[in-house]
Amino acid sequence: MTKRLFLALLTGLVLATPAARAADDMNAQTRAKAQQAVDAGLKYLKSQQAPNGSVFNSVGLTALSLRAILENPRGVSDADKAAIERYAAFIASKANPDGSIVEIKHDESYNTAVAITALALTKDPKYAPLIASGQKYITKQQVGEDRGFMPVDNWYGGLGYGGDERPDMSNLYIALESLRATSFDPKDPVWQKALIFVNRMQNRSESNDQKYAGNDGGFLYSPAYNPPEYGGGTKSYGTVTAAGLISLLYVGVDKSDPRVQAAYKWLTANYTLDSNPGTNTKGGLFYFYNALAKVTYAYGQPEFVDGRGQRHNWRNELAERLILLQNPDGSWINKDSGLWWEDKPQLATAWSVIALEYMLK
Amino acid sequence: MIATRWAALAVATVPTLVAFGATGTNLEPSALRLAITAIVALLAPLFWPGSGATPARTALRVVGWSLAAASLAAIVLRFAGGHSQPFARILPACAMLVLILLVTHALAAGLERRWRGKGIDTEKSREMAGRGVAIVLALVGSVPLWLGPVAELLASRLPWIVDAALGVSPLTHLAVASGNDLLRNAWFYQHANLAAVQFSYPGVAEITLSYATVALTLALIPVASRRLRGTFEPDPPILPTME
Repeated sequence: MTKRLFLALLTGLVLATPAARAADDMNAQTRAKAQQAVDAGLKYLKSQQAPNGSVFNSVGLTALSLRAILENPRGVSDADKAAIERYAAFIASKANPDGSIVEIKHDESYNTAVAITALALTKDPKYAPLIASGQKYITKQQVGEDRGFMPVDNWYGGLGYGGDERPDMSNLYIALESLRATSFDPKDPVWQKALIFVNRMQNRSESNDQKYAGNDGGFLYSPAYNPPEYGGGTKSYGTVTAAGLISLLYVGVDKSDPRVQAAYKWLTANYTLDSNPGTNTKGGLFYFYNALAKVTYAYGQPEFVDGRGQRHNWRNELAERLILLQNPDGSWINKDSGLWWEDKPQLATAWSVIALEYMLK
Repeated sequence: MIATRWAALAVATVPTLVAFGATGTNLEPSALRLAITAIVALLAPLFWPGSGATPARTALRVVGWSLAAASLAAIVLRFAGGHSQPFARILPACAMLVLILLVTHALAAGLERRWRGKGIDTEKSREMAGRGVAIVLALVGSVPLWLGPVAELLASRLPWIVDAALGVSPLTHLAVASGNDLLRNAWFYQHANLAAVQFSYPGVAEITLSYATVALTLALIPVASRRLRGTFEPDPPILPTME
């Protein structure tokens, strides 16, 4: 009996160690609630799985759900393993001869990127060939010499939705994330080419050689323009600034680099969870929460002072905001905007669960 | 006659392409295919050579003028697009253009016949028919632009409406055949509203089948019309006269 008690105490101590570390920048009560929110969110996501293993027959939605389950800080339960296998099998069934993994005729890069990220998390070696093909597909989509572009061209190093269309910061960030998640060769030129594009997406004329470059340190969406939903123009806004900051870190730029510092400064100075910063709209809000959670994890600084001189703990605040926005059935939905599918609870829930998981890491 | 009109179409196409920015350096190869085929599609009916003396000759003109216009697009693409426009990419775009023009010119022939039947001068009927179908083509082609905001508003209640707005547009059909992600290309992304909502493009097979069905229907209408009226006119129209 004493031995069992001792073992239980020891186990409790071991399990409590990461929680204690995280508690440095997240209070215990919020942390517990965040884990509950993750559990409820995952329960909702699993309830949305169709018999063929998919979510809405969409590779993207299926891959994000799978990722949310596999990144649960509690780990994966045996009960989830069959569902995980079905998610992954559906994703694998949508692999195309060109290496892309997608069920539709557009958004090939984006879907392939989220698909290989999720497949890599399964750690199942049978998906290794698909992941390798997906990596090749994604790197082939990068704008470069083989498409007739040179480093002087402002599309160079970027990546779009697929095909030969214009590149953008959001797709590049998702692609870089997938390459990192799948341990793509860190010496491959793809990273340095990507950095050229990332630099040109930052409103920082010291590192951006384009005429449209501003000087607030934030990011814009695509060379010389933002989506019309955000008023067009070239002003910096939240989702792509978070994406840009993470991308700088992914390509190997140090946290102390002035480009990272400038992006961090923009994000903290313009900090708000009420809207997508810099846009005054709620379009893409859950994408922003997701990217911001990754920023807080990658950047690592728990507290900051915003543009109005107020101190914030963004992990606490973001977790509390997501907990507040969760529906009774465990889902999330963007009630104010249907842009980028955020009116679909399956997507908003996956973004939110993954965001909370990053904050619990 | 077709050769003269083809030359006139070529002369009109080049400055139009320049005016629409199709000669810009920042245009993706697929967007260039789309721009050139779309501009030729809009201009070709304006140079419609007119119906023939017999239905067979009219059909021949419909096919001939459609092929001639598409060949112009292919030539412009090959020379304007340089090495980034291989034949394997040009062919599907121009084949889709032929399908669109076959239906467009068949409609022009039908309208021309109808107006002639109402006593309007032959030359005027031809011109009016060409202009009429060009306007219709422009309106239907731009459905994703002008119907987009309404489609977005209704999308939560009518999930099919965005795909329908895209699916009816010949511009979408040309984009699909050109390998261009229409809503995400630089111009559309900045000027249309549908890129951020859920959508699917129609497949090439579906589009081809639709045009084949429309073409077959247009070809069969006169036959059915004659049978219904129990008469055998010496010069039946491609479209019924509706009299």
